[in-house]
Amino acid sequence: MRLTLCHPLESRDGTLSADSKMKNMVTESVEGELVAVKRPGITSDVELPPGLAQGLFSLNGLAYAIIDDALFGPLTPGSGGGTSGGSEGWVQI
Amino acid sequence: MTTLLPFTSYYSKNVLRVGETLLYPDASQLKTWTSADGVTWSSANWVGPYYPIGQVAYFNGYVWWWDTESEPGVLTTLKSADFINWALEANQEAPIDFIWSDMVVVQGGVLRRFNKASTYVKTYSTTNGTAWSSVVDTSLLSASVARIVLYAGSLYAIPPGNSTVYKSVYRSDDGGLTWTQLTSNWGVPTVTLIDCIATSEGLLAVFSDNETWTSADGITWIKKNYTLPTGINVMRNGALISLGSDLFMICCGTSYRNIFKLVTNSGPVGVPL
Repeated sequence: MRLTLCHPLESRDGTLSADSKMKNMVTESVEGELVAVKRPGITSDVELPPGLAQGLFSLNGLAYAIIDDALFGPLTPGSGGGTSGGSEGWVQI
Repeated sequence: MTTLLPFTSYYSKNVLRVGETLLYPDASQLKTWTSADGVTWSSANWVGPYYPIGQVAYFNGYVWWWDTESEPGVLTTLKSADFINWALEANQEAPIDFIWSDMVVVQGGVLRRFNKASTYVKTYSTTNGTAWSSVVDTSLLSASVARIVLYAGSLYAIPPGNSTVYKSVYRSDDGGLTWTQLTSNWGVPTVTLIDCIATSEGLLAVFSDNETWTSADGITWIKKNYTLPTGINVMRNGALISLGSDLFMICCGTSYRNIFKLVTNSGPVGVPL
């Protein structure tokens, strides 16, 4: 029996608990045939607000981003991206 | 140096705001703790023979405790004006068994309870702490609501956050009897809601990933660009509570004894509406 790796990706209930899915792979058409191609996996470390991306750079080992002329950072993995002053937020007292 | 609360409240909603004081009736130590700033706490021992041992609420100038656990079907009511002496107010037939997960909202002179023990939320109310209205079945699915918040004169049913199915926000303009769906998807990522409160910035919700979202109408939710506290569980289990013009997350963390204060550039956001 031959099973295709490039099965249509659909979900009957909107979750990943059933039906076909690909992980770290994409489907490409090569010479008229659908083939599964490996791609490196990535995870989202920082979520920044939408806007015009104007650069991502490193300073003293910390990452910063500019969006719509606003500076965000330093960016901490798993955070929403602090403001440039880093002064707003919940402080343990 | 950070504050470690002098009590452990596994049910953090038991920290009440009474005027400009935070108050915690501590059933494990039979005393009431009070604080004006969330940092410095003092306590006074209770005077028997009656003690509250569970969920309490501040209403009409008293802290109240209602219980049906000691004898199902029988509602025992205690109240205290000084938070030290507890008076037995009534032993009566219970309109419904009171449970710890009941959501309690004080709106003007009415205290409303919302019970999630059934498929659909049931609600009932009192104006004097002892006489209760009939229990009404609402159209709200119990699984779809984690908090009911009084905001701008209406009640808002806030979803649990960690569900991929229940992402709707509802509003009631008649004290929780009927509900209207405001949105079928509030747009917040699937992560557990810690608490939600009404502030001068609108509805404000905090989640277990430490993110904070606000909404002026319950429909459009915006993630605040706050610097996040370190530690993945430091705000877990907590409760939002306002004091003065400040907003606190209290009784959080794995020890239930952490406390946070919200600091913003735009000024206080903890002013209750």
